[in-house]
Amino acid sequence: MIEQLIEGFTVAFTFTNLLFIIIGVAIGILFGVMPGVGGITALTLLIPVTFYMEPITAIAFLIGITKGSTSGGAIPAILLNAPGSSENVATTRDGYPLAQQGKPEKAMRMALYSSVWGDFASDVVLILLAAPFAAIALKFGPAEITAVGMLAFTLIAGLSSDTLTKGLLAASVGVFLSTIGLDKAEGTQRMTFGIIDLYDGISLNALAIGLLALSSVLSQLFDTWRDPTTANIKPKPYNKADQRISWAEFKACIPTLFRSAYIGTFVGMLPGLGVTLAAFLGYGAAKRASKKPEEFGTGKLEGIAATEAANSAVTGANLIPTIALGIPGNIAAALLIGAFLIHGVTPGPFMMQQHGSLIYGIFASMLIANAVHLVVGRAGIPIWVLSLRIPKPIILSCVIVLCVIGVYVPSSSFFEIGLMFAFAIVGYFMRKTGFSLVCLFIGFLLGPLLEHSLRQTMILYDNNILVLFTRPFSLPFTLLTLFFIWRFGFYYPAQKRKKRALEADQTK
Amino acid sequence: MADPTIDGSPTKANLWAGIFMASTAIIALVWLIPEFISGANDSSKNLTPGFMPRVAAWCMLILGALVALDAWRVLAGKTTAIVEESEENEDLSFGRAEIVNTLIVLVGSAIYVAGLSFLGFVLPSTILLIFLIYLTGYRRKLVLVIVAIAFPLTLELLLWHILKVPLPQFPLVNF
Repeated sequence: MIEQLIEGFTVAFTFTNLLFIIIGVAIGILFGVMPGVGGITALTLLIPVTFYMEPITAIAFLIGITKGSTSGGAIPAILLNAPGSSENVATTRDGYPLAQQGKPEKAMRMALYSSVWGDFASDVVLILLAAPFAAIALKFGPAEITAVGMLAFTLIAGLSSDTLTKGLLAASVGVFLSTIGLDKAEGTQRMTFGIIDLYDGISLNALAIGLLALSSVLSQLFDTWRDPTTANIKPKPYNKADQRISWAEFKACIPTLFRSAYIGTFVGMLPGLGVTLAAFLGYGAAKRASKKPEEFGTGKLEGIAATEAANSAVTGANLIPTIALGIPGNIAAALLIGAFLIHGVTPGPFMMQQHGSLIYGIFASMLIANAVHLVVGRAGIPIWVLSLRIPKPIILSCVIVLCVIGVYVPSSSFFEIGLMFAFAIVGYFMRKTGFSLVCLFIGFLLGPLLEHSLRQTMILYDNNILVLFTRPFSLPFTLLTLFFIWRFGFYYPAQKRKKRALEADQTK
Repeated sequence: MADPTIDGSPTKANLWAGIFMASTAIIALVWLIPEFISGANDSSKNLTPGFMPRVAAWCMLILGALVALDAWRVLAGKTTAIVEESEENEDLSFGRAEIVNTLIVLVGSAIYVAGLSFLGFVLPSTILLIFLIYLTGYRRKLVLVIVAIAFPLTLELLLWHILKVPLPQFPLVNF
């Protein structure tokens, strides 16, 4: 493994790669800083730009964006009490009070160091576990892949949506949409209605940008339109002195950094649990372990370290199921799968065998990106703070134009721009009604894999779907799926309803 | 957190969304899949190209019906609603304002895409930016106009003249 990693460094350590990692981290932080824009928007907008890059440069660039955006989101959380995205919500608890005490740069530095540490720890776990996991996954046949796919859908639907049925419904719509286009097995047209733009299926770009980025921007534009006061929140000026973190302060945070990195890595390894959960778990664990838990929420450095190390540690670990099974852990990993596919690399158990040097090159790029993140993030703090002064209406409006460019440039198709706006409307409806965007997107992305494995299973086992219960490797996944269906579909809703009914009785 | 008792709550939206999805699934099963998938009804084959779309459509039908049924039971007072939270920290409500917003996007995007195909990239994008920035409360007119003109123009120059990536052109430039 060490030899392969060294080889990976020789592949990754080129001027072009380094340049794009620096640009990626800087863009990631910049998008993360803008409240409501975030890393997912940056990823969806910039995946089309990578069409013209080498696969390793493209993935390294996108990983740089992912890493940068997580720590970038902490900056508005600290300065404005307005987190860049939901994963930085917990950072406001101690970051904002510390900024109010006149130490915003100290809080931002702690957020950055913790973020880089969380990233690094999680990357190390990824490098150690990806190959063994992929080796086990190689023993999987179509029945096992089907069982794993079903488990992933159930987990993601159950965890990212308040009701399992709504999550699974969104995932089913995603799978249905993924079947549009030419059938891969027989080459026949499926629901293309004679539209040439649909022969290759619904464009991943149009769907991702419309559903994830444009719908979010539109939603915020409408909120700003109806309440313009939200557009004019700016950071307060502060004294540059007394912003350093002393060694004693940093040392006190070390156990928290390790604990949160462990929590974030564990959460990241399981599909669907999400970055926000990791941040809150990290914060909760730090508070419980502290000798002075009452100080949390008043501007404690450990609170910032706990959330930022935990949410950043999800990034690398999320790639373990992505690389080993082709199943993304969250939306950022799902977008990276899209980028892999665009560059002719199919994530899954065969990825390590077929593209070993690329994978280790990516691992090396991730480690390089951590160092770059530290330098760029630290040097750029004054610049990132300045970007918060750009009025929100200007940022959001310009992002809409960027969305159009992002879809038009790779396709030169007005149809795809129309499709992007259609998905933006779908995404806006889903956002406002609690349907999970993640489920629809992952359903769309995993649909072809599930179809392929399900069809193979049906052919191999004479249409006997009960084979999922009889094969030794698929049985545990199938049983787990049934368990989670019971847990998220029956047990939790009954508990929630009982609790709500009790509360209603008490208020009467 | 959304209170399911208020107007425009997710419960009402769930009812309509469930009915809509179940109806769409029925249309897919009885019309779209048989009519628009070649060989979907070929009984000589074990698994036709319509297999997976049918599986997905059946899932949509069953799950859509379940979502609608659950929402109906809440609205009829037969069960308590589950309080839902947005994964994106947004207010969960789809009432009159959201319907108006959707119609604005529908009409606005149609005009913008038509504008792109007839007038090229820069002019419709400039108009769109002026309209959006002004409407969302920004009132420094000089900055507004400079951004609205400079941003699309810079993008066009960057993509078309430096990176050689084509954007929709104003038809008159070809004459």
